[in-house]
Order: sequence, then structure tokens, then C-alpha cells
Amino acid sequence: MAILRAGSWGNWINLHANPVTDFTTTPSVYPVNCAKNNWPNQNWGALYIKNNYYSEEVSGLASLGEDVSIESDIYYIAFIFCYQAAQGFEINFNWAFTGAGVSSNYPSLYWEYQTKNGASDSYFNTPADSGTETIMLPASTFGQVEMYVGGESFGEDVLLTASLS
Amino acid sequence: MANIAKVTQGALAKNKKLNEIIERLNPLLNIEVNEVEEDEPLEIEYSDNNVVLRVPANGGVPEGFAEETLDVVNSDNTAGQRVFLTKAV
Repeated sequence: MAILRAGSWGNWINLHANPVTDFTTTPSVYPVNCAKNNWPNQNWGALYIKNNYYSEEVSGLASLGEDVSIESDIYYIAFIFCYQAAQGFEINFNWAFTGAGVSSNYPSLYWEYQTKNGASDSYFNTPADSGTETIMLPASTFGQVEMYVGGESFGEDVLLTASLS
Repeated sequence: MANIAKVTQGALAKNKKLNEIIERLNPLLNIEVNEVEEDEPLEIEYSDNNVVLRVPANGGVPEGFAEETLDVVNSDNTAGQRVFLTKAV
């Protein structure tokens, strides 16, 4: 059965918010996607938030396959998006740590989702220097997904690159 | 559907009522339905060859309602659209 569109942006509490175009402050609502497909008037997107500890966090919109990166010795990248899906689908969370600080890096990776249909899951790990975490998102009239990858290398910088696919 | 042929031979051919019924029945086997403009009347035209029904086009949107095209997620997870009849409450 077809699912009536929510959004076009939203969050767990507000399923019908206007799209955000100004990212000077980090938004509290996120794109509502049609599984892994584009809407007729809105391409697939996730809000990314990245921070290097020494300056204000930066946010923006990332599409599928688009790399987001940050370089520092204390750093993270997070992705948040909402979705609607008539059947479950997989999404890949990709990351890579490179640079001089990798040898002294303490990385962490986390993801979680919850749906209005009652499903939820979460995962935490100390990740390898690079990899892909495949997450199976269940069918739902509305779900919210958050992903985080970051680290601390205490001196030498690490370049972290992350994407969704 | 093919017409029913009149009976011309044998004992049944002597029954004229049978062929009369066949003559009346054959036009009903060739019903033609035509959609006409919304404001034209419903008409039924009966001839020796066929029956033509002239049906006014669907009356459009019911009074007080409006058509709205809304986005949906299709059953295969692609984006689609549906036309809804909506009315403010």
C-alpha cells in the first residue's frame, strides 16, 4: 500500500516541517526521504554535522555517495535523515581515517534508528581505519536515522571522510 | 458477438415467433456505449442492427471537493503521486 508523503523535512516530533536552506546554525529538522529514491521535487539528502572541536560545528546537506570530510585531532561527522519506505532497504555508512594521526587514533562509530511503527536498533563499535557498515532500515510510515563517526588522535591530525550510499 | 441466424429450414422455421425473437435479440448483442458531453442527456437508441447507449461523461469533482495531487511512496519504494479528492473540515 502506498504511504502518503510526510515532510518535506521533519523530525521525530514534527513530521511536517519546511525545508531548510540556511545552515548557518545547525537545523533541528532533517530531510524526509522516499527510501533511497528522490522525490519529484526533492533529491535524496541527509543533514551532515561535522566538528573539529576548535571551532563551531558545520552542517549541510549530503546526497547519496557524496563525501563529507574533516581534518583535526578531535573530530566527528554525523548524518541525520528521516525516511518513509513501503519495504525495508539497506543503506551503507562508509568511512575512512587517513593521515599522520591514524597510528594514535581512538575512533568510535555509532548508529541508531527508530520508526513510528515501533522498530528501533542501534550499534556502537570501535571501527577499523576504513570500512562500511550496512544498515537494514525497516519499512515504516516514518523513521529517523542518526549515524556518527569520529575520533581523537591527540596531536597529529586525522582526515576523516564519510559518506552514505 | 455474432448475430443469431434466423431459422429457415426444418420444423422450427414454421414457428414465426422464433424468428421474431431472434430479430429483437440481435440488436442487444451489438450494444455500443458512447460517452457524450457532461451536459447532454442519457440516451438509448434502438435500431434493427444495434443498441447505442449515450452516457454523459462523469460529472467531475463532487461539490465542495477539490482535486489535489499528493506525493506517496509506492509499494516498491519509488516516489509516486495520487490524485485525492479533498475537502476542508
